[in-house]
Amino acid sequence: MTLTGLAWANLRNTPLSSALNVGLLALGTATIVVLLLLSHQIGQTLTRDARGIDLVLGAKGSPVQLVLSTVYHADIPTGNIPLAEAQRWADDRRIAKAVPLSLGDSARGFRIVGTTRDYPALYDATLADGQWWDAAYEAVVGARAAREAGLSLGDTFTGAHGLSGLGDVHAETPYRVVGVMAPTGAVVDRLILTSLDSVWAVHGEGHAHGDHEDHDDHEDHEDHGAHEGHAAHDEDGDHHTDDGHEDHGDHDEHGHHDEHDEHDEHDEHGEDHDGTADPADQSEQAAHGSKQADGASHDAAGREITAMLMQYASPISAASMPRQINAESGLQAAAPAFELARLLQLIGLGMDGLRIFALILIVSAAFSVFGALYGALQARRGELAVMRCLGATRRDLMVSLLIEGLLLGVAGVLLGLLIGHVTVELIGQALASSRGLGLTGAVLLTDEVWLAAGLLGVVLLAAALPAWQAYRTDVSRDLASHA
Amino acid sequence: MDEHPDALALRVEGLQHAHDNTPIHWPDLRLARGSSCAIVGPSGSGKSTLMHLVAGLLTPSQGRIHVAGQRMDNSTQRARDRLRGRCIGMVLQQLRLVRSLSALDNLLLAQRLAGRRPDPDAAAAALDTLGLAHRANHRPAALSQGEAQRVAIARALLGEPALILADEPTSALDDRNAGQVLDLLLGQAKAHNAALLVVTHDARIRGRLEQEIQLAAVTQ
Repeated sequence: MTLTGLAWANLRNTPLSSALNVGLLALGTATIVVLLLLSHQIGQTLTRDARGIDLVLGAKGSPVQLVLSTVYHADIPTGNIPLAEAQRWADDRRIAKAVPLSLGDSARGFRIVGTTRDYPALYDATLADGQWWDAAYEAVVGARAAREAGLSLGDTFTGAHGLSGLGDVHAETPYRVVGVMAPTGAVVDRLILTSLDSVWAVHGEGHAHGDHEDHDDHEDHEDHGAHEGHAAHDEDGDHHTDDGHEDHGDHDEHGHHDEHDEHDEHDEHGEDHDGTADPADQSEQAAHGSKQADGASHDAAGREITAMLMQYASPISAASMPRQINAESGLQAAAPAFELARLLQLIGLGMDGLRIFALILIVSAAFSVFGALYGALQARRGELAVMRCLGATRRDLMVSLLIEGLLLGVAGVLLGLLIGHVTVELIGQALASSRGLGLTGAVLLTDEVWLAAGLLGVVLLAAALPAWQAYRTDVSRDLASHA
Repeated sequence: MDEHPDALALRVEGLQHAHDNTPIHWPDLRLARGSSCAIVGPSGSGKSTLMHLVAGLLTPSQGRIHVAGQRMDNSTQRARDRLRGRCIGMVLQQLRLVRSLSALDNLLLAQRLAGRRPDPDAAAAALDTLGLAHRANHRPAALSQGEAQRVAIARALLGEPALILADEPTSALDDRNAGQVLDLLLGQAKAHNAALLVVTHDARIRGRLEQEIQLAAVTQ
């Protein structure tokens, strides 16, 4: 029978009080652990995905939405912009690197991104298998997209309009997987990359076909009118139709009626090919695009992209560039770092509230531990005196109370860590398919070790006063008063 | 009279202690191993204070106390705790056992607190000797008053002490239990060759022990 055994027996002798203390401590610990894990992992993911992107050029609208949709691929785009105008800014001397992105389609739940090879280079992505795309309809798949969508080298797949993967299928223009990227931990893991030409070609072709034979009885027939007059659509319109897309979860995959939404984004391009279904024309167009993707902007007129990711030549550019773009052009320039900070600050407000809540829980847990041990001290004064009669030193009594506090603390903190990690893991699994924040409960942060040490320190402090009183206790008087 | 001090379980000389500014004097006392002595007197006569002084729980203002040949009165608190744990077994009236521990665990805790290795076999044997083997795993709340006091006696004897201090060991018990407990104390003290010092106002004990010292009430 050791002092620890005695402390354990004493705690078990008052199960309700012990459970209450452990529960309070666990709740406070779990709240803080969840906050730590979430803010760390979200911050890490967001910062990593925005690496190397100083400025995003896109359609007017919410800057946060622009950054979310083009940097994190977590929102729908604000609309499309003319490639020529974007290219004009990309050619500015203050810009060191510019990567065009064209969004709008997805395959098996993963976004298809028309871009240049500079894009995977932003994330130092390397190929695990195959080669980078070259011709139109060649696609390189991110590690996670490959795994979860079951795509491997040589497979063909069709893109579907919209980002939810539930839109109309571009069945006539299948992509072929020519490469699979190695995992990077960044956003490209869950993307399917292809050339800009492919995206343009898919929609040029799809539009040219324009056959509505299997429209059947889809609800939004009014959209058909828009098909004819799509050139008149502005970016806002795009946005709305895209929005509508997300809600069409119950649609059949074969309806083509929504294609024009996409054509809005490529309206002028689409018009060029209106009514033409000539495959030769299509490949010619793809050839066009290849040159374009190489950075030559000679034939950019008429083409549209969703956004241009840009890197400054020098940090000084940040002072003039965004303001100038926003003032002088019909485009919008948003800095991911700034929007990210704004977003995290907004999240942070909520986190602060939770943090205060957690702090209150911890303080009440500390008071509760203090109360429990102080009560135990009063109730056990006689026992402590008897222990002294048996030869226990004053230190023995103090240590036995400290151990009781420590046992409560360790149990509470361990339970709290467990609850916190399980909670984050569950959140991560619930959000895994839709958000790709990569949340997991299976990591231990150094901050958590400090947190655990700090909490045990608080509990020991709460136990210190009763323990000190046990040390100071006058055994002779206690014996006399109980005699 | 000329016994070697080490042969004595207890030697008290010129003991004086100021309690609430009232000095109390105690007669000198010599107890050999195997002998027994009752200290009787009304409450307030300094019986319990004498016991606490001998146990090293209080420090006397004057006088010397030797337990098993070692000075108790002027050593450090820690040394007194150690001497008490090793050479003294205490039996108290009310405060006996740790509530959250079984009878057996109470004995094992006592061994640990006295600085010895917990020895489950010895503890079980001690309970067996006092007819408590079947109660070993019961907590104090499940024991009768008499049983609890017997467990306390087993615990006091466990470390083979030179001196057993019993503070009102029978006052809370009925006649039958009081008689049993006193027999047990006397018998076990003899068996373990320990000196037995009983402090009591219980008249049932009078005449049962070898020596009897009457203390007078202290006038304030």
